Amino acid sequence: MPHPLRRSVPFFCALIALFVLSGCATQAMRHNSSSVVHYLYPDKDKPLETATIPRLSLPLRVGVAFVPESAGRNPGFTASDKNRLLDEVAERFRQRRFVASIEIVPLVYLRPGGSFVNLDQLRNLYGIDVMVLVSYDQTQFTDGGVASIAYWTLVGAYIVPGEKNDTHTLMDAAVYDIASRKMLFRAPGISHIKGHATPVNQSEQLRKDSVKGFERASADLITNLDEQLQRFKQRVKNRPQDYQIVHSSGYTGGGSVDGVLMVLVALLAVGANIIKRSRV
Amino acid sequence: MSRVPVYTLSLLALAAVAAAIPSVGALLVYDRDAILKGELWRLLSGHLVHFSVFHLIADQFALGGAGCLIERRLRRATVWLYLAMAGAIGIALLLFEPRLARFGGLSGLAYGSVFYLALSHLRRGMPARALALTVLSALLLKLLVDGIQPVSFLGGPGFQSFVPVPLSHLIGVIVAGAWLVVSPKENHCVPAETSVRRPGSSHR
Repeated sequence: MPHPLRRSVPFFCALIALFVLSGCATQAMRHNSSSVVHYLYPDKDKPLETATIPRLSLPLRVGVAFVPESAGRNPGFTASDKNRLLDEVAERFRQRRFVASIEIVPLVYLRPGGSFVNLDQLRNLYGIDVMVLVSYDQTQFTDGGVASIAYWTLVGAYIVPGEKNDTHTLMDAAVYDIASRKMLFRAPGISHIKGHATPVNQSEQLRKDSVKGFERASADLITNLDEQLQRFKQRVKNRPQDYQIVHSSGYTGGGSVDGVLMVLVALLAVGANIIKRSRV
Repeated sequence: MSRVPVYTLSLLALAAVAAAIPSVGALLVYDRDAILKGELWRLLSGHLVHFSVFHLIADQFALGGAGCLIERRLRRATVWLYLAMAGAIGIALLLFEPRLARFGGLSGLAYGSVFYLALSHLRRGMPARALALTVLSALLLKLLVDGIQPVSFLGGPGFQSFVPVPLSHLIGVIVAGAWLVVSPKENHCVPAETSVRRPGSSHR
């Protein structure tokens, strides 16, 4: 007759396997986003506004704002974080000589699903021609790792970081010419943060990862923005049929000498010298 | 005998002073509103103002080079040529560039001076004539390209804080050409040059 404990071994094994497997299979997901598409085109039934050839009145007056959240609100990405990012984006535009002014538009001035009607209002309110719409999409995944078996000990839940966290962040700055409804260019910023946490500090760790994700994605966005601004300049220069350029009232102009004229002056000076010598 | 081109050097020195002392620059710059309120001297003095160190140095190099060569022959008449070009450019900007609020730079005078110098060389023999033809062709081609370039604001080198105004160059060239045609012959470069010709020389 088998020992009673021996009979219960398969039961305990099955129980352990169940817990381990269930721990490994556990997955949680958090998603927060603000979408330019939801903001500009909220009504699927409404016909889309057709973009026309943009008429850029230089130097440009630019506005920059965050798009209202369309899926959840991320507590880790505070208003001050958003303002700091908008300041950096604004600074990048301010350095360009084709930008006359840049206004940071507070989030409360943008209605969820406000579409181009809302942008037209901002255009009149702030006197801007071009709008930089900054949006984000952040998804956090949490999986129980093998180490989560240590949670059984109760103490393990405090000291063993068995939760695996993945934080994917995408930030996007889309630049629109308000009058023509045309997107001029966009710059993305992405980041991927991997981390571990104990069940006890899981929430805090996710918040930290979220903030870190936004910081890295923002830095990436700023880098890409510089590159895209440069490309946009080249595109406008190379494809005049796609953009109408006019100079707005009150611009500063100058008579400028470039390398060609300098070469011509040098040629004339050298020529005059040669002629003079040939006559002596 | 080489003479010191005092008028051209004085003009360049005045431009340096206007750049060094911002209050002087503010008083001299072409400012459309101020001109329309009666500050007419800005039509002439605006050319002395520059918006960056590079802008100043580039304009000084070009006008210094061409202007000194002209002044060796024209002497005092150089002042009248400069005044004619500066005034015509100022008036043209006022009439044809109503959106232009501020303007500065000597390049209109520099373009005009280069054109004048090249035109006057046309009256010489070879190789001066070949050189003059090359310079004139390049200069006119450049004026054409600048005139049809629609995105000078975006397509510029990036260190300029202003929009290049090709009209100022065009007017400078037109006035310089007209000056050569209508001014008295003793004011031309070439007759003065021919006076030092050696007897028996093949040059005109």
